[in-house]
Amino acid sequence: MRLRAVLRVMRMEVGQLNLLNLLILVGSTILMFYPLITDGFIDMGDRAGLESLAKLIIYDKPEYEVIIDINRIAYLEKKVYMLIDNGLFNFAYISILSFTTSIEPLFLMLGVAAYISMEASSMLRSGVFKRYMTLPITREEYIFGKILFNIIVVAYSVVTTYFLVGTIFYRPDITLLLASLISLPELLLMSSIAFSISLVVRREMMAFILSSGGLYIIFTQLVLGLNRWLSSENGPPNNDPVVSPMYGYIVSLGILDEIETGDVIGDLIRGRLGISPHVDLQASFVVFTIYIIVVIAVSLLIVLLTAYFLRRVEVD
Amino acid sequence: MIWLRVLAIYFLVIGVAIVLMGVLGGVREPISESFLYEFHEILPERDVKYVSLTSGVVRISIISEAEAYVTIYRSVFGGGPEKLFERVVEGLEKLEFATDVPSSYYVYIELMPTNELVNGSRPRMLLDILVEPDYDFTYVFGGPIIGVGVALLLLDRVVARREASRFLASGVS
Repeated sequence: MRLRAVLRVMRMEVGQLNLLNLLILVGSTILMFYPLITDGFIDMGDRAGLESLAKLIIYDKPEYEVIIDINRIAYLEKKVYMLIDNGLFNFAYISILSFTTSIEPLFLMLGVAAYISMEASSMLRSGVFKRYMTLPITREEYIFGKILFNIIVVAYSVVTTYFLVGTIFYRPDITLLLASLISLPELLLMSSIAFSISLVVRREMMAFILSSGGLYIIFTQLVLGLNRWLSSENGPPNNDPVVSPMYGYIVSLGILDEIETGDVIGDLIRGRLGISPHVDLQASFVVFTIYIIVVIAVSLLIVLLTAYFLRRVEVD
Repeated sequence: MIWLRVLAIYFLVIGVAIVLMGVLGGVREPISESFLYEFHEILPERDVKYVSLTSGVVRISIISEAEAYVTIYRSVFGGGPEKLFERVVEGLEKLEFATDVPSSYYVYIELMPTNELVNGSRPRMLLDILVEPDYDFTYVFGGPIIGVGVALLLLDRVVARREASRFLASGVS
């Protein structure tokens, strides 16, 4: 497979971008971030941690210092909310956190499945394929380039929308940017799986149903298995995780300084993130890096295998 | 031109996303929350309530049966809090703050100790916070971005047409 040929396909694919498909994808992403958007306007809901801490610090400090501290906690609370209670995180780490039972990740899965099934169904149509026949490329390079381009579009679209939501409704900072970027591997994996399902099925509606269902099962079973395999637990009686990719995710967002301050606020944030004192954060970061590498490698392997196995498939 | 088209699609998608956010946000009702405090005899009671919003109006009503020291701070984009209001309140006090940028409001309350009784019971204070978010800014942001996207798409068409006519004029069959 020649890289130049793949890049040529991708470059040509830019001109073929379907605006309607893209809008469906962005619309479903927005739906996924719906709670984040509505909660971003007003923050008067669940802030039990903040209230209890305010009660602790309020009596022994002067008024202005109390406000400064609460301002800091409120910001950290928001940061934790952005990291933990958002659809993208729930989607990416749905299997790691037991308390993520929200429906929002399903919107994203449906959006990605819709976009990919529509793109994939047209890929092997003779009309579309003919446009590329003038290029000196093989069918394998054509399929690989097309899949690669479209999974980049999916990843770019979701990450940009997440960053946009965060920028408008919260505060744009490096944590938000990292939180957006760190979900890229999961997005790549999800879209490559959806692509391979859609290309095998090739009928738009069936591909949509199978890939959205397939994504849900894969993400609640396969990624769960991978995470459990990489995690280590304290052992009975309290099976608290000591090392887990999720904690590595938190470390990679640069929030480590905030939770290792040793003061009351640091402890509160640690509690909100569910990090018990015996968690090994450094080891978790290493495990998280391995997790990311595995996910990216599997995604690329899926794309390569799809292109390889479909190279002899007849064009409709 | 491919890149002109990509840029146009980028602007269109981003613009539509921003407008969609406003539409979704507009579905939500204004939020109000009330807090009831009771004055004590010896120690002052202190509390802080906070609310943060992106754009809109915060209305704060205080009805106090005894003297309460109230200070309101505002932090814009998470920066250092600035004092907006500071007064000893007794009776009714209505306050209203509007913002166009992400801001947090902190209501600091200190109930002064009192021995007095109101209608035979301890004096009380009611703090009522009403937040009315304004979503128009999403249209203000999103509209021009969509406009730029449409303009770029049109420009792309013009360029494509010009290139096609130049190609035909060159006599290539």
